[in-house]
Amino acid sequence: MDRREFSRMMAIAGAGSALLRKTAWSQTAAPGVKFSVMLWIMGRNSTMEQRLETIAAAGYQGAEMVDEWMKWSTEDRKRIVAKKNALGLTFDVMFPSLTTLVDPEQRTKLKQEIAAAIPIAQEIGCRQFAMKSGARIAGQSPEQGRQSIADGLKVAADVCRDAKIEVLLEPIDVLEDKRQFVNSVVDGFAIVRSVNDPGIKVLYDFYHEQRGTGNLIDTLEKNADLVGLVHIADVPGRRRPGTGEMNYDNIYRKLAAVKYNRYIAMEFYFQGDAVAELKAAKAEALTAMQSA
Amino acid sequence: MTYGEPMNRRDFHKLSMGAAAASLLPSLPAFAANAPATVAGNGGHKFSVMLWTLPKGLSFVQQLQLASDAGFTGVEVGNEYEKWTPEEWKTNLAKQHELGIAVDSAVPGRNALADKSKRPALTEDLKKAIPGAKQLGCKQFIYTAYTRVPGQTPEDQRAAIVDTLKYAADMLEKDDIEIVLEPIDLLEYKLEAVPSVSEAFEITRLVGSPRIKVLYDFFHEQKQTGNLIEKLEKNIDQVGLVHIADVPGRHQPGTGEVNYNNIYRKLAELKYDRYICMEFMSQGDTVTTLRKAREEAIAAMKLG
Repeated sequence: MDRREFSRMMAIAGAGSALLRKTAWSQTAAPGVKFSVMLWIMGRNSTMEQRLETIAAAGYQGAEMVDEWMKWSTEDRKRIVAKKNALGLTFDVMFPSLTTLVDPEQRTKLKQEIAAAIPIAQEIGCRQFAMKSGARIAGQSPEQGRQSIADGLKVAADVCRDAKIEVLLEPIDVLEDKRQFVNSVVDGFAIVRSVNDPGIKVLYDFYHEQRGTGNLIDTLEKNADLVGLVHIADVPGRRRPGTGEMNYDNIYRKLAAVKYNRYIAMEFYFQGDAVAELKAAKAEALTAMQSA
Repeated sequence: MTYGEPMNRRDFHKLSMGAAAASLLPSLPAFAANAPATVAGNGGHKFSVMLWTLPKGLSFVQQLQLASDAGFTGVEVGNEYEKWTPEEWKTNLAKQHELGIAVDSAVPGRNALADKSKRPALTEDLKKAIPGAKQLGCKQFIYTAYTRVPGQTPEDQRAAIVDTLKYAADMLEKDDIEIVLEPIDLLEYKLEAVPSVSEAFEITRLVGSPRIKVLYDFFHEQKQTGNLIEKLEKNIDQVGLVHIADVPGRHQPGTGEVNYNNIYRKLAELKYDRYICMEFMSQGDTVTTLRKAREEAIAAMKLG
């Protein structure tokens, strides 16, 4: 049977290369990764300062925002930046705009919003802009949609280039948003690869990918060069690693093996004490990466 | 968890050996140190091994012995038994009875279930597979939906597969054989008609027969779609069999991205009581690896 023969061949090939990689990895000691937390996951009831304190107390270096910054006054910003600096934290990512990348008629708005976000990003020290693709448009073919997203990303990257801010495309699983155009990093990587711009990468959210697509490690290995940021939570329930169906130890090992050295952002709901859970999640990640 | 009778026998045998009294117990066969596993000894769970995953070149007798040595009470076959000689049947059945191993599933063949022109071939496959299955005591056939029919809409495809499965169920009724529909991920076979359990569950619900269920192969599902536990929980009533392997590589649990401990716990919580079949290529010694996979599953389900 072809399928069996095929699987066996794959397994044999896999076993051989796994052995080779193992040898190579053992020379990788502590990876240069940093850890951050997505702020909205911590509940919008606590103040920004309180959340930053929790993140710092857990030994993390970064905090991530969607559109929280949009509501800040000049005074708010000064106060929050002072707090962030006092704690030694970095805002490692923010969403500069919630405008769709799918619709070519929204380009002017997209450009204006991103341009307006740049000085704020510079003020708060943020060097990465994340964006979702936006919803599919009736009448547009999949090819036209992908091309339009690619064009939109290029527009965004061009606006960001002088400020040296990187653009990230974040796929959202179909269970969370069935209208969203880019549902999988498989599609995200293909689009970003087609743009071929060093200023554009993919936000690989393992939670979303596990809910919609699976096959996490294979996809990571094939596209490691385009991963700009990773988001962590288990499935089902979006809680900390170990609570669900994903083996994060092996995902972290693979991240170390492909020499991933950017932020690892926790985006999971706490079941108990936030600081304790964040500390444990970071320690597990480091232990796994060091055993790669 | 209490140990089954074979464990006691084994312990007794060891004690007897220590007392140099083994020769006084002629009723104990020479291999009693490897007394066959029992479902009771496995925490009440039924574990089987898909035989094609074992090292090549083993006879059926050797395959059964290997499965038994690893503590398994079941094996799953293709349709290789259709070619056995009368002499092989005798030897193989004797070994099966000696070890008390069930042949829980067989694969009669592969025909596009959505293609009505393939019905004679399907009928022929089933006719050839049934007599041997009965000899082996096998009560379950595995079918994949296989190739999509060009031009068929998803609705037409689903209706056609439902119709074919009803036909097969009727044909198997008098022999009391069930069918499990196995989805295959598109990375393995890009023309597959049913690449996810989500579609398979829809199909078996439409068939509406207690003898037509879904083979939830976590390896294929993880490669294709993910979201394993939620779908298991929502559709446990339709699950007839589960297959176990990690992704990527199709090796034993722990080698990849799937947290099988939590999947086993969920199976226990949902009171899943059918076969758990290991379908992976062992990295390392086969018996040791299979035994460890089985023990991990039992330990996880105790916690469940």
